[in-house]
Amino acid sequence: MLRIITRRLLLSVPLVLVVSGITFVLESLVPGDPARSLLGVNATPQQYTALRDALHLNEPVIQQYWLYLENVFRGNLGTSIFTDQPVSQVVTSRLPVTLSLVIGATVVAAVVGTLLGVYSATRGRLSRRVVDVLSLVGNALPGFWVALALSAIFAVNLGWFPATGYTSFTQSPQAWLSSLVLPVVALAIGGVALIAKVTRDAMLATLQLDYIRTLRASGVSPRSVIWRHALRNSSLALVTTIGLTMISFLAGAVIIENVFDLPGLGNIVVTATNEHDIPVVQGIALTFAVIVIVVNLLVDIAYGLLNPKVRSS
Amino acid sequence: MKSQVTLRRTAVLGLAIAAALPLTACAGSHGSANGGSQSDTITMSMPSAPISLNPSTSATGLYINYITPAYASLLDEGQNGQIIAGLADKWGYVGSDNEAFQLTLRTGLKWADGAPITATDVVASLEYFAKGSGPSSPYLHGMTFTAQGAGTVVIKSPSPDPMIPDLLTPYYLAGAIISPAGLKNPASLANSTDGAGPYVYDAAQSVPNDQYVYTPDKYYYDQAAIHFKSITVKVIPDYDSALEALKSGQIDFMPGNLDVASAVQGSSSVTVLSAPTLWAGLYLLDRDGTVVPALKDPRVRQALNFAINRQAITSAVYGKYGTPLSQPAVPGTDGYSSGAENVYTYDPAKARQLLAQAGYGKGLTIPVNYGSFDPDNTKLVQAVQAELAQVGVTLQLKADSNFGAWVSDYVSKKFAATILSPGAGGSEFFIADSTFMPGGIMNVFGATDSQLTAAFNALSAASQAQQATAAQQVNDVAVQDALALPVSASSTIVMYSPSLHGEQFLPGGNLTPVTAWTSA
Repeated sequence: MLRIITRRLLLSVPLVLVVSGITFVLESLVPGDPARSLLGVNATPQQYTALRDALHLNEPVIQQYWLYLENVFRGNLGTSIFTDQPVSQVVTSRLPVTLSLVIGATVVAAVVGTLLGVYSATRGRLSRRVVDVLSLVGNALPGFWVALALSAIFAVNLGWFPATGYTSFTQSPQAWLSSLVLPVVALAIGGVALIAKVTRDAMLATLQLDYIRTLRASGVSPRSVIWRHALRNSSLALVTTIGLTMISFLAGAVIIENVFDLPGLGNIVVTATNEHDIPVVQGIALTFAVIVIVVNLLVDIAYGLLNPKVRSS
Repeated sequence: MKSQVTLRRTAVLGLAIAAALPLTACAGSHGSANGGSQSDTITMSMPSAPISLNPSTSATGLYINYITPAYASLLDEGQNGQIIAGLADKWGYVGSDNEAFQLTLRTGLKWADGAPITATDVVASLEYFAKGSGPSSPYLHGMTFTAQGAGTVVIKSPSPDPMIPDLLTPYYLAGAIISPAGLKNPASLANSTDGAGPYVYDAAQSVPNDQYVYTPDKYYYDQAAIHFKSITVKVIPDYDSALEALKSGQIDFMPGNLDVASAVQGSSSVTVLSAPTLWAGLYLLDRDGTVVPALKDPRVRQALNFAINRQAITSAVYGKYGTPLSQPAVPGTDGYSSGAENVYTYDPAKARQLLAQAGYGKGLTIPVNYGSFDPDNTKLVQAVQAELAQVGVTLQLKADSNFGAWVSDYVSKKFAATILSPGAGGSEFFIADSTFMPGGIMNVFGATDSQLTAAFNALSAASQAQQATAAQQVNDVAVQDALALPVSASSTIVMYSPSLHGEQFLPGGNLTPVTAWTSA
């Protein structure tokens, strides 16, 4: 197990470098110029050149990237070109918002999806069809539309939750929870559908195995057969799906944070990309890469806990 | 049977637990995220964050609401468009040539840090604005600023300029003076404030790119003018999300667009206010024929103006929030004349005739760049493209996805025409100076027109009583020589809670800033 974790961590270094490099190159290809955005149309050629020199924008992309890496290895993620705020501060102030949203959505999707999947695997064909249809609908509904619909119904019409905004946990745990309900539900819907389907399919396959028949014949209670034996042995596929779903929620968070005006990383990355705020974009890309690495690591650890063969290999 | 019942109970219990947790957050949660809207606070939304909190680089229009709470201006604009006192309570031109302007500060003024405001401070701030690259900077180039005594400032322009007092209002920002403490470290002005406004920027409660909070300044000279315990400007890029927040009472004010304004038509819980403030259309930049030689010929430019059905395009793009417009001046401004609306009726046959006379009967191609980040301008330019194609004129469109890209393309001089997002408005002096005069910020090719220059010089030197006539004469030349291709007067739309008061579009098209509003 320790070997797996160590290998994962070592492999993460080149992974982060690759993500960082690709992001830097892609950002440099986006049309626009941060110096032009900052100075507007009134700038003299001298002002424009001076600002581009100050921001190192006149240097080749490779050289800019190398300079960026040098600073990162010194622990300096740079400062926002537009707000002059340290990127580390941008990330640390917004990360809790995004994590609250993503982890919350993952928990909801995992719990609800697993329950639905187990339910449909142990019921008749009708319940399976219902889960199939729900999966299709859940995947087909655009997250943007779902978010606006939830806001219109539960925030505007019923007044149960705020339509936009975020309150930190330290400010008020209740308001924090309230501000996350609609965004979490909007983000989780697609994940519920997928997890339910994967759980259902894995459970159906497991419930067909001989040892399950043996357990039943031995008098083991149905509840124990399903929850303690079948689900556990179906959980490898489930854990993988939950891990991948959580990673996909990072992308979904960009849309949801914009609709609900949550001050998270997804919200700022859109602005930063359009404005060519390269240090901020890079900082967020690195953060997302680290989150993906951590999620994959947790999935591997879960594998080891669930499957003794993985632990001992 | 028993196992099925047990399983059902377990599943229901699990789902109930998952669902119950959020319900504990319901009670008392409405409007609680980020403070909501109370009678002694105001929360407004803007679709994007400011490029900077530095008033010398800030955008104008509704974006002044990021600036005006913390930066009071030297002068202000009254309900009838007249100049009124601000931090200065005496002002006026010296002599009759509109070249020397003098203002005197109120006594006892203090910066937000408590230091007294002097004429020397004001001079330093104006000089800083003049050297910058913000919207007001070009109008200050070449001016000199002198302090006379403790409270008097003299501004001298190298050429007649009847608009100096307007520059010093909140709507052009040059008068939003910055303290010496701020000027010592200009980089800090990007995310902090050093002004003399009724409020100060509260960095502790603010989150850059998300929300900007302002709390009362105890040193402001007119404490009775401070109407709110705090002003919060939230960045909500999506108009639908902002509308949900307005309807649920989380915000009190938002800029609107055609879609959201139409969605609340007839609603008693949201007030919609609009006024035509900007002319939208094509800036014919290459009037000297550098990239497209045809555009040097006035007959070609006139043909473009005859070729488009302004009524149809305006109706399609702006609905009831637009007016067809044939002149680069908005109704209600000093340059606008109703007679100019009759010069270019929709006449494609005449357009073809003029093009043939100019030698372009087989058509021509005009490269145009525009900001695709502005959906209204995107629809507008595509509609104009379709109409001009009917007379053999091809618009080769380049979409710029962000403002920086639009600026880069604009200054490249590869595009003979452009669309400015969201449009332009204001007095004829500013329109002509920025758009048609050599050196104007929207005249990248430096094109010249001798008739317009003569009319502009007359406007610059005109007395107050002659300003309106002189302004219309400038506009008449711009129309006759077809220096632009206006299509519509688009309205600025704002939406707010009925409990809010004081929002008003002034005659020049500016909306009163948030510092002038009150709450019932």
